[in-house]
Amino acid sequence: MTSEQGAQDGLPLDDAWHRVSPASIIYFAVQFLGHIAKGGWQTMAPLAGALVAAGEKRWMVLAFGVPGLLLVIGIAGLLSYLHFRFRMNGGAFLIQKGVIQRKRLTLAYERIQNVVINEPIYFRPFGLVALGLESAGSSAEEVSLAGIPRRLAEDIRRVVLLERAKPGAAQPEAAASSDEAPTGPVVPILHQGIGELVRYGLSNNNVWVFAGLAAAALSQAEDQLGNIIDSGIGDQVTDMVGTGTAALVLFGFLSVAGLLLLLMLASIAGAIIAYYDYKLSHEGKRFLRSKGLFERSETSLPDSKIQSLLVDRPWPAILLNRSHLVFRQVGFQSTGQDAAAPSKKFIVPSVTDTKLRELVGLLTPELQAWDNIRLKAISRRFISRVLTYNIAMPATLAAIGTSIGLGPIGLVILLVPLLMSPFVYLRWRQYGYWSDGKHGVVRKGLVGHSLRLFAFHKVQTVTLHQSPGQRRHDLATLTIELAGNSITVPYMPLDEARAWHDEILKAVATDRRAWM
Amino acid sequence: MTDTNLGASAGYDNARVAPGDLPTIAALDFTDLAPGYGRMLMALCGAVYVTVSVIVTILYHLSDDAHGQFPLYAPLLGLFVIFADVFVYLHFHHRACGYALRERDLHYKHGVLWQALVSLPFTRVQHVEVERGPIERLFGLATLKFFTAGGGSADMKIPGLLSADATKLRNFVLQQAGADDDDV
Repeated sequence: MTSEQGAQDGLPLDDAWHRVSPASIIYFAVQFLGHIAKGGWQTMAPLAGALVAAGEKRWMVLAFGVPGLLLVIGIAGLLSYLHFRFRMNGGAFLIQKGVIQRKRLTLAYERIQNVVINEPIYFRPFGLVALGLESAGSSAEEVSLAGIPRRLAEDIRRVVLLERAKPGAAQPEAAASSDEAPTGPVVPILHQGIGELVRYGLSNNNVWVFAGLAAAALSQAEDQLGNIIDSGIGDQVTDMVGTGTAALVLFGFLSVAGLLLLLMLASIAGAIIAYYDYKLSHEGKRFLRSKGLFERSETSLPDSKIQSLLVDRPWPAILLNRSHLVFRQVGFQSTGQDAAAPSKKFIVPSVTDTKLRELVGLLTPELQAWDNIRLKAISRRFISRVLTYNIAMPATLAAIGTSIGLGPIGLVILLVPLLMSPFVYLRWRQYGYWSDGKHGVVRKGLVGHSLRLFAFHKVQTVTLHQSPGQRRHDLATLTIELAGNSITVPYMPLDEARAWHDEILKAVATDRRAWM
Repeated sequence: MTDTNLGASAGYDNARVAPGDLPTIAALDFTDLAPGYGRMLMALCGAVYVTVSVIVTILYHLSDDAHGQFPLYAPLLGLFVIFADVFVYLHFHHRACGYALRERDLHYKHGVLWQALVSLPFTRVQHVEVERGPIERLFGLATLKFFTAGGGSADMKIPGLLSADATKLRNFVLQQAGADDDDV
């Protein structure tokens, strides 16, 4: 990029180092606080120790300690702000930061994977944003420019993405369409209102995971419940509902229902806070997303970075006739050092079938058969194998063990395989696979299911496994490693597994598109 | 199976990749691991067997109770049976392993009962490690580890290569990976 061009864009392309806005002191202070909290109890221990040791004079410690702590945080924010400088030239970002340990960071445009614009609530009055640059490497290399005007952030994003697309000319279409890209708002493909977010809150897995945990906790508490009732602590309960067993059961049922309702409300609230005013658009081979109630974030994700598409349909989502999508990206493990590092999960909540088709069409234009996908079932031997080896054998061993200890009652464990068999059957039924020779779709689940769509040319490694039993019946299990996640299809017919294996290797060898 | 020699172009000139004509993994021609690998596994197993037997014998003689309970050959026979099985398993194990090289990908098979065939396209190789442990060095062997963007641990590990072969194979893979990157 020439400097005239840059000047035209209002970008700081000169040799001088630039500072972010003084308002970023708040950002740095918040980050510092985050680090203290993450640093854990070690950092808090002296304060707690002082509190305990102070005895009667505890209030003195609080009166001086809390303002002192606030002062330290404020000074840390100020120093971080004073030491943070950035400049852009030579196709790279240069950052100087660090108070005690000085750091210089260079991030070349072509290494930038995502550009994220966050608008924390405390920046809103100043019209400032935090610009996050995600690199393809580790999260330690990531750059966050907090406290720059929105206009500048948008210019930087445009220039970086344009520049990134240029050098190798690997994505000529992307560059071309970026040139034409209008600076004004793009019409979103998806604009999720509160109604959809409520649906997402109700039907995403989190609430049921919590409910499961709560149920486990409850069943543990059950043993103690009897004691509590006996010991008279439960008098209030019995006073309230009478002493009948039926009434107690009803009370228990109602409290579980109440808890579930509370969890659902919490999940809905969480969904609204995280995804408020969710807008998804597609422009120049990139998905753009903005979302958030308190902290608005704008993320862009180039199509080429998406490794697979996860279409998640837990059973409540099936009832509501929605799917939740996740664009899976390269999954480098986050080191968790930067509290402000944006999440790499690119979720599209509560999508109708029509929109799903549209999104799949955008992501994989050459895949024209989303509606024609007919999943093939895996071999029925999956059921007998799982029941025999994974359930019946351990259950028999356990039954022998417990019956030695407890007598015949221990044999009750032998009922486990019987109780489990419907679930194994459901598991088998949900497994399915389909391919058009260039893409694969694999479904798995139990009551609900999740579908994974991936392009063969993005695969990293393929492994074909065969157990002795599978060899006898010409079956195989195929494990496909994508960058960041792995997909397994158990008990495929051997010739199908080999065909996938061959097709994948062919796609990798012949498809010249970049996988990342 | 071909010999373990990776020399010349014998292992490389595998021009089966022709557009439209899909080469199949069912027709791969595997190269055995170096015979030294089998010897190394056997030697290791033998060393462990001897060590355990010696320890058992010493313990037997030190313990006052054991003399009356059972004769020394009972535990030694048990150990022999166990280690004989391991020996037989190892014998088949190293024969079951093998790698195959094509123009664009590398394959490694392993497993006697539970068999697996891993395929790694060269373009996906992020980095390669040649590992030579002290025992491997004794037998002139090396282990090649290939890493992709797929996960943290090595995505393909080929043990029991002659040191020279390992270096050649590594250089070949890196060269192919690089050549492919230039194409893009």
